[in-house]
Amino acid sequence: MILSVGLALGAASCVKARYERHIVLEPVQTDELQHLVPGASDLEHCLSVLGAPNFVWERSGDAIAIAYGSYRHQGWQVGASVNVTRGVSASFDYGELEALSRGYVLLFDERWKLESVSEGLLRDLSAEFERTPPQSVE
Amino acid sequence: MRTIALASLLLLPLTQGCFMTRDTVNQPLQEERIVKLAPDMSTGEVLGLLGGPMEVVQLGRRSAWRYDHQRTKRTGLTLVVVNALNTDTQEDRLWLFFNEFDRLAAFGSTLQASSSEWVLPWFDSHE
Repeated sequence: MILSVGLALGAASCVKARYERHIVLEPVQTDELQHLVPGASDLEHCLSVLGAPNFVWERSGDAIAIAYGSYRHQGWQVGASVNVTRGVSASFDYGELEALSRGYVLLFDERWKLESVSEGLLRDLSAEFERTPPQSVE
Repeated sequence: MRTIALASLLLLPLTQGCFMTRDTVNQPLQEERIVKLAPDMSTGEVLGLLGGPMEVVQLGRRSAWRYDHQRTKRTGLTLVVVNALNTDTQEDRLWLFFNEFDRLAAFGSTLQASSSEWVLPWFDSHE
Protein backbone atom coordinates (compact mmCIF):
# COMPACT_ATOMS: atom_id res chain seq x y z
CA MET A 1 0.00 0.00 0.00
CA ILE A 2 2.79 2.40 0.92
CA LEU A 3 4.44 1.65 -2.39
CA SER A 4 1.32 2.38 -4.36
CA VAL A 5 0.68 5.63 -2.50
CA GLY A 6 4.30 6.60 -3.06
CA LEU A 7 4.05 5.85 -6.74
CA ALA A 8 0.88 7.86 -7.04
CA LEU A 9 2.43 10.83 -5.28
CA GLY A 10 5.59 10.52 -7.31
CA ALA A 11 3.64 10.40 -10.52
CA ALA A 12 1.72 13.51 -9.59
CA SER A 13 4.78 15.48 -8.63
CA CYS A 14 7.50 16.97 -10.82
CA VAL A 15 10.21 14.76 -9.34
CA LYS A 16 10.91 12.32 -12.11
CA ALA A 17 13.55 10.90 -14.34
CA ARG A 18 13.47 12.44 -17.79
CA TYR A 19 15.01 11.24 -21.00
CA GLU A 20 15.18 14.07 -23.46
CA ARG A 21 16.46 14.75 -26.91
CA HIS A 22 16.60 18.13 -28.58
CA ILE A 23 17.33 18.48 -32.26
CA VAL A 24 17.81 21.94 -33.69
CA LEU A 25 18.43 22.22 -37.42
CA GLU A 26 20.31 19.99 -39.78
CA PRO A 27 24.11 20.10 -39.79
CA VAL A 28 26.05 21.06 -42.86
CA GLN A 29 27.42 17.99 -44.60
CA THR A 30 31.21 17.96 -44.50
CA ASP A 31 31.47 16.65 -48.04
CA GLU A 32 29.71 19.79 -49.26
CA LEU A 33 32.48 21.90 -47.78
CA GLN A 34 34.99 20.22 -50.07
CA HIS A 35 33.41 22.09 -52.97
CA LEU A 36 34.54 25.39 -51.47
CA VAL A 37 37.96 26.76 -52.35
CA PRO A 38 39.42 29.66 -50.35
CA GLY A 39 40.63 32.37 -52.69
CA ALA A 40 38.44 31.13 -55.54
CA SER A 41 34.90 30.55 -54.29
CA ASP A 42 32.74 33.60 -53.91
CA LEU A 43 29.76 34.20 -51.64
CA GLU A 44 27.24 33.27 -54.32
CA HIS A 45 28.92 29.91 -54.90
CA CYS A 46 29.12 29.15 -51.19
CA LEU A 47 25.43 29.94 -50.72
CA SER A 48 24.51 27.72 -53.65
CA VAL A 49 26.44 24.82 -52.11
CA LEU A 50 25.53 25.21 -48.43
CA GLY A 51 22.21 27.03 -48.56
CA ALA A 52 21.27 29.91 -46.31
CA PRO A 53 23.49 30.48 -43.28
CA ASN A 54 22.21 30.86 -39.75
CA PHE A 55 24.23 33.98 -39.03
CA VAL A 56 25.75 36.85 -40.99
CA TRP A 57 28.25 39.15 -39.33
CA GLU A 58 30.11 42.27 -40.33
CA ARG A 59 33.89 42.24 -40.06
CA SER A 60 36.27 45.13 -40.39
CA GLY A 61 36.05 46.99 -43.67
CA ASP A 62 33.53 45.46 -46.01
CA ALA A 63 34.50 41.92 -45.13
CA ILE A 64 31.87 39.57 -43.74
CA ALA A 65 31.48 36.23 -42.00
CA ILE A 66 28.67 33.73 -42.28
CA ALA A 67 28.00 30.75 -40.03
CA TYR A 68 26.16 27.47 -40.14
CA GLY A 69 25.27 25.70 -36.92
CA SER A 70 23.08 23.00 -35.44
CA TYR A 71 22.91 21.00 -32.27
CA ARG A 72 21.62 17.73 -30.97
CA HIS A 73 21.61 16.92 -27.27
CA GLN A 74 20.17 13.95 -25.52
CA GLY A 75 20.44 12.37 -22.11
CA TRP A 76 18.90 11.57 -18.78
CA GLN A 77 17.98 14.04 -16.13
CA VAL A 78 16.66 13.29 -12.68
CA GLY A 79 15.15 15.87 -10.41
CA ALA A 80 12.53 18.53 -10.08
CA SER A 81 13.82 20.81 -12.81
CA VAL A 82 11.45 22.02 -15.46
CA ASN A 83 14.19 22.67 -17.98
CA VAL A 84 16.23 20.28 -19.73
CA THR A 85 19.38 18.69 -20.98
CA ARG A 86 22.51 20.85 -20.72
CA GLY A 87 20.57 24.03 -20.33
CA VAL A 88 18.65 23.69 -23.55
CA SER A 89 15.31 25.36 -23.14
CA ALA A 90 12.18 23.98 -24.66
CA SER A 91 11.93 26.83 -27.12
CA PHE A 92 14.36 27.77 -29.85
CA ASP A 93 16.08 31.07 -30.33
CA TYR A 94 19.12 32.26 -32.23
CA GLY A 95 21.07 33.22 -29.12
CA GLU A 96 20.77 29.68 -27.89
CA LEU A 97 21.77 28.32 -31.27
CA GLU A 98 24.94 30.39 -31.29
CA ALA A 99 25.80 29.51 -27.70
CA LEU A 100 25.33 25.77 -27.95
CA SER A 101 25.93 24.68 -31.47
CA ARG A 102 28.91 23.44 -33.37
CA GLY A 103 29.29 24.38 -36.96
CA TYR A 104 31.30 26.28 -39.51
CA VAL A 105 32.24 29.91 -39.92
CA LEU A 106 33.20 31.11 -43.38
CA LEU A 107 35.21 34.32 -43.70
CA PHE A 108 34.94 36.46 -46.80
CA ASP A 109 37.10 39.41 -47.81
CA GLU A 110 35.81 42.82 -48.90
CA ARG A 111 35.09 41.46 -52.39
CA TRP A 112 33.13 38.60 -50.78
CA LYS A 113 35.68 36.00 -51.84
CA LEU A 114 36.11 33.09 -49.46
CA GLU A 115 39.15 33.45 -47.21
CA SER A 116 38.82 30.51 -44.85
CA VAL A 117 36.52 27.94 -43.28
CA SER A 118 36.70 27.17 -39.56
CA GLU A 119 34.96 24.44 -37.59
CA GLY A 120 34.06 24.49 -33.91
CA LEU A 121 31.70 25.98 -31.37
CA LEU A 122 30.02 28.98 -32.95
CA ARG A 123 30.28 30.85 -29.67
CA ASP A 124 34.06 30.65 -29.85
CA LEU A 125 34.40 31.16 -33.58
CA SER A 126 32.23 34.25 -33.62
CA ALA A 127 33.74 36.02 -30.63
CA GLU A 128 36.02 38.25 -32.71
CA PHE A 129 33.44 39.78 -35.01
CA GLU A 130 31.93 43.20 -34.72
CA ARG A 131 28.27 42.93 -33.91
CA THR A 132 25.75 45.19 -35.49
CA PRO A 133 22.43 45.04 -33.67
CA PRO A 134 19.57 43.95 -35.90
CA GLN A 135 17.60 46.84 -37.32
CA SER A 136 13.88 46.54 -37.07
CA VAL A 137 12.01 46.94 -40.31
CA GLU A 138 8.59 48.49 -40.44
CA MET B 1 -6.53 1.78 4.40
CA ARG B 2 -7.69 -0.71 1.82
CA THR B 3 -9.76 2.04 0.17
CA ILE B 4 -6.77 4.38 -0.05
CA ALA B 5 -4.62 1.67 -1.56
CA LEU B 6 -7.29 0.81 -4.08
CA ALA B 7 -7.81 4.46 -4.97
CA SER B 8 -4.08 4.96 -5.44
CA LEU B 9 -3.84 2.01 -7.76
CA LEU B 10 -6.82 3.24 -9.74
CA LEU B 11 -5.26 6.68 -10.05
CA LEU B 12 -1.99 5.37 -11.45
CA PRO B 13 -3.17 4.88 -15.02
CA LEU B 14 -4.60 8.39 -15.01
CA THR B 15 -1.19 9.87 -14.32
CA GLN B 16 0.22 8.55 -17.57
CA GLY B 17 -0.19 9.92 -21.02
CA CYS B 18 1.42 11.41 -24.04
CA PHE B 19 1.32 14.64 -25.95
CA MET B 20 2.29 16.08 -29.30
CA THR B 21 2.59 19.79 -29.92
CA ARG B 22 3.64 22.01 -32.77
CA ASP B 23 4.94 25.58 -32.64
CA THR B 24 5.58 27.71 -35.66
CA VAL B 25 7.27 31.07 -36.11
CA ASN B 26 6.33 33.10 -39.18
CA GLN B 27 4.79 31.82 -42.35
CA PRO B 28 6.55 29.13 -44.42
CA LEU B 29 8.79 30.55 -47.14
CA GLN B 30 7.28 30.07 -50.55
CA GLU B 31 9.62 28.40 -52.98
CA GLU B 32 7.68 29.69 -55.96
CA ARG B 33 8.56 33.22 -54.87
CA ILE B 34 12.18 32.43 -54.08
CA VAL B 35 12.78 31.10 -57.60
CA LYS B 36 11.73 34.50 -58.94
CA LEU B 37 14.70 36.16 -57.25
CA ALA B 38 17.34 37.28 -59.71
CA PRO B 39 20.70 39.03 -59.46
CA ASP B 40 20.57 42.82 -59.63
CA MET B 41 16.98 43.08 -58.35
CA SER B 42 16.41 46.23 -56.36
CA THR B 43 15.44 46.22 -52.69
CA GLY B 44 12.05 47.56 -53.73
CA GLU B 45 11.48 44.68 -56.11
CA VAL B 46 12.45 42.21 -53.40
CA LEU B 47 10.09 43.84 -50.94
CA GLY B 48 7.30 43.56 -53.47
CA LEU B 49 8.03 39.89 -53.97
CA LEU B 50 8.74 38.71 -50.41
CA GLY B 51 7.53 41.43 -48.08
CA GLY B 52 9.61 42.78 -45.21
CA PRO B 53 12.51 40.75 -43.82
CA MET B 54 12.83 39.56 -40.24
CA GLU B 55 16.30 41.02 -39.83
CA VAL B 56 18.56 43.47 -41.63
CA VAL B 57 22.30 43.28 -41.03
CA GLN B 58 24.35 46.27 -42.15
CA LEU B 59 27.62 45.15 -43.76
CA GLY B 60 29.55 48.36 -44.21
CA ARG B 61 28.03 49.97 -47.31
CA ARG B 62 26.17 46.78 -48.07
CA SER B 63 23.46 44.83 -46.28
CA ALA B 64 21.93 41.40 -45.79
CA TRP B 65 18.30 40.53 -45.17
CA ARG B 66 17.02 37.42 -43.42
CA TYR B 67 13.66 35.72 -43.87
CA ASP B 68 12.83 32.67 -41.80
CA HIS B 69 10.17 30.27 -40.65
CA GLN B 70 10.64 27.78 -37.81
CA ARG B 71 8.64 24.70 -36.93
CA THR B 72 9.12 22.85 -33.65
CA LYS B 73 7.44 19.53 -32.95
CA ARG B 74 7.45 18.09 -29.43
CA THR B 75 6.61 14.56 -28.51
CA GLY B 76 6.22 13.58 -24.86
CA LEU B 77 5.46 10.43 -22.97
CA THR B 78 4.64 10.49 -19.26
CA LEU B 79 5.00 7.28 -17.32
CA VAL B 80 4.79 6.80 -13.57
CA VAL B 81 8.19 8.13 -12.66
CA VAL B 82 9.82 8.51 -16.06
CA ASN B 83 9.16 11.13 -18.70
CA ALA B 84 10.42 11.18 -22.25
CA LEU B 85 10.55 14.27 -24.41
CA ASN B 86 11.72 14.92 -27.93
CA THR B 87 11.84 18.32 -29.56
CA ASP B 88 12.70 18.80 -33.20
CA THR B 89 13.15 22.28 -34.61
CA GLN B 90 13.70 22.77 -38.30
CA GLU B 91 13.72 25.94 -40.32
CA ASP B 92 13.21 27.62 -43.66
CA ARG B 93 15.79 30.36 -44.16
CA LEU B 94 16.54 32.84 -46.88
CA TRP B 95 19.40 35.33 -46.80
CA LEU B 96 19.70 38.07 -49.39
CA PHE B 97 22.89 40.08 -49.84
CA PHE B 98 22.68 43.53 -51.38
CA ASN B 99 25.58 45.57 -52.77
CA GLU B 100 26.27 49.22 -52.06
CA PHE B 101 23.75 50.19 -54.76
CA ASP B 102 20.98 48.23 -53.00
CA ARG B 103 20.99 45.62 -55.75
CA LEU B 104 20.76 41.90 -55.06
CA ALA B 105 24.25 40.43 -55.30
CA ALA B 106 23.78 36.94 -53.84
CA PHE B 107 21.21 34.89 -52.03
CA GLY B 108 20.82 31.44 -50.51
CA SER B 109 17.86 29.49 -49.24
CA THR B 110 17.34 26.42 -47.08
CA LEU B 111 13.86 24.94 -46.84
CA GLN B 112 13.76 22.29 -44.13
CA ALA B 113 10.95 23.29 -41.77
CA SER B 114 8.65 20.62 -43.15
CA SER B 115 11.13 17.90 -42.12
CA SER B 116 10.43 18.47 -38.41
CA GLU B 117 9.13 15.23 -36.89
CA TRP B 118 7.03 13.93 -34.03
CA VAL B 119 9.07 11.04 -32.70
CA LEU B 120 10.03 9.66 -29.31
CA PRO B 121 13.63 10.33 -28.31
CA TRP B 122 14.91 6.79 -28.66
CA PHE B 123 13.88 6.48 -32.30
CA ASP B 124 16.14 7.66 -35.11
CA SER B 125 15.41 11.09 -36.45
CA HIS B 126 17.37 13.07 -39.03
CA GLU B 127 20.15 10.48 -38.88
